[in-house]
Amino acid sequence: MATVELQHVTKRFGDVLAVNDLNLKIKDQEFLVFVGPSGCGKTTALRMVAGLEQQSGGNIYIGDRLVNDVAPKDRDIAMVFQNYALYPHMNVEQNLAFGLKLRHVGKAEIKRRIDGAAQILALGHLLKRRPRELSGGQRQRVAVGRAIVREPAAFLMDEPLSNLDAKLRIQTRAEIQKLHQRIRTTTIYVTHDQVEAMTMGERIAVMHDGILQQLDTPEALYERPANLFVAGFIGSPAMNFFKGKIVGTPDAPLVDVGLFSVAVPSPQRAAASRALGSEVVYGVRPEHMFVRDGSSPEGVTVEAKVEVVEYLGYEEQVYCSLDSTSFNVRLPAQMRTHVGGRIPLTIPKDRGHVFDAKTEQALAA
Amino acid sequence: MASTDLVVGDFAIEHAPGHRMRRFFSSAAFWLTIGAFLLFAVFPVYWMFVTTFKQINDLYSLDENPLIFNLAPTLEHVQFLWDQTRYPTWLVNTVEIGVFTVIITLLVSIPAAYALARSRFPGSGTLGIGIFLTYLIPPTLLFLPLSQIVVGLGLINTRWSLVLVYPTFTIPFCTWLLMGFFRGVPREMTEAARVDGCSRLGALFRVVLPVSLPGILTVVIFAFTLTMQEYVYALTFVSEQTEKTVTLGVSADLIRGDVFAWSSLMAGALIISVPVAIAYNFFLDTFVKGITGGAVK
Repeated sequence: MATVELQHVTKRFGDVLAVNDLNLKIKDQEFLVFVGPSGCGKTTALRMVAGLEQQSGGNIYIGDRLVNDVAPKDRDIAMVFQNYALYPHMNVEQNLAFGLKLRHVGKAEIKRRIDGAAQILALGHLLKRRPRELSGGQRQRVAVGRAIVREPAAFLMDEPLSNLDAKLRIQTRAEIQKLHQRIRTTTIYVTHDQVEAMTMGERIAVMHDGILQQLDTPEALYERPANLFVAGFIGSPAMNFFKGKIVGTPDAPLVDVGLFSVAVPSPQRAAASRALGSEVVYGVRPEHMFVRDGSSPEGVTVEAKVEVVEYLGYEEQVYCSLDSTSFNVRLPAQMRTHVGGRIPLTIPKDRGHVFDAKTEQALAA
Repeated sequence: MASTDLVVGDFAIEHAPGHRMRRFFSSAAFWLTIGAFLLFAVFPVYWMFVTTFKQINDLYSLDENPLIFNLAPTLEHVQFLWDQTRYPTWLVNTVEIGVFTVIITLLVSIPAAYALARSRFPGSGTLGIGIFLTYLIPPTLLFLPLSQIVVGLGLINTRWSLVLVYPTFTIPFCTWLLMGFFRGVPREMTEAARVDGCSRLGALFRVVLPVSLPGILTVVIFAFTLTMQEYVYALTFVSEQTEKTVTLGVSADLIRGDVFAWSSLMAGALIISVPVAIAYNFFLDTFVKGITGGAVK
């Protein structure tokens, strides 16, 4: 068990800056998720922690130890790979024991740890099988088991669920969470799937173009995205954005997007007062808009034209347009929205987010 | 039109025989082609076999069917080869040269192929191609400079000259072949081993080599056969009876002027090719995989 700290870590591949001045500290026993689109530098960052990639600059600490020049085998970490990377010439038991034998762990201790991992992961009946005789889900569990038996300072997981089918992925997602609650080993988990990040991470590091965009809890990322990228990346379907301008008075600033004006949400009001007249982007999540009825919260209401309706059973996703601007909303399924019709949509006054159009950063609270 | 499977009723039944006929012809063409190739490939081996065991009178008789035994088969030519020539010594020499060459080849080719397959260093691609190009220079050109080296080292007229020279063509070939096998081992597997506790070299020995074992066995067999069938270097560097290889020995000692000891020649060739043919048979699939490996991933 240990903390993992990255200080000003940079990685260059030729002219490409894959990771740019990454600073973060993973707490002891924490489950931290790196998330971002492909090519954002999240896997490179993980591989630098593992020692499989040498950083171009900066320092990496595991516990109190500076590991910049420490070989992967001496970093006391265990890694789970996307394609599991099991050793095909060994059976499950030998796969699990491999790392322990290399570390000269005693026979009795190896057996104890393998039995423990086999019990946690339900691998007992598979110990004598070769990897090719296992299903994808079983292989995935062996890969996790190989990490557990090592009892390392930290687990590094590189998209370990992306080779599983959708149903198994959700099930295994829960199993990995349960496992972490049980053994509390510091874990860094890389994924491109924001749902996986939101459901699993205690904290999430959102990366884009090699730069850490925001490091926070899932709630904070959802409620207070630091910039346009995070706002658009977290949440599905993505947040709707409208270009506009800050108008009104310092006491009651408004965002005027042309089609409608809406009050600046209260946490950002002070910042908006200082920025009267500046160009901004107003964002509101599809699930935060309502069809107006008697009980609707206070806000601004617009008449939107329904373009496409995707019925999902429990709700429907409705693609609307307002003049030439299109956006989408999530509505209860019983609304029975009709394509081509018009619906009165209320944007509640405090659910929006205001971003500076130039810097793309959220207006500071 | 007749081949439409979706058609139902009389129409389809009416056309079914035509369909069957066409299938018969296409499969007949397939087997005829295969048969022709098979005949082409197997006939020399069969000829070698019957010639080995035919009595001389049978072999030279022009009146009988030359493809079958018209007189009882005999072992006398094998006996002659074994007792009256140095064939057993040549056989031992050939195996000995093969074994040493294979060992040298593996010692050089495995690290070279692994480095070329896995590490990215300046010029690694060019180096890989360069190694293969050396294989393309024919021995008939190379034997002149190589003979200078062999003489200089005092190895002329010994089988050790061949142990020294044969790796010049087995190493490029086997390095190239092994690169294919090593590229087929997922990179993550070696990375997992390195995280698990291996050094880079440890990962090669504990994971990559065991996983590539079929490939390495294939390389062993091919390097061995390459040395076994070599003729030009053996002819130019070795003239001592007791140092000769099979290819050199049989052709030098069983052909006297224009007199060919056909049956013993064939026996000499048959004895050495049968084990190899069997070995090839087992490893041909992995051999093909080694050549195409990495290309189709």
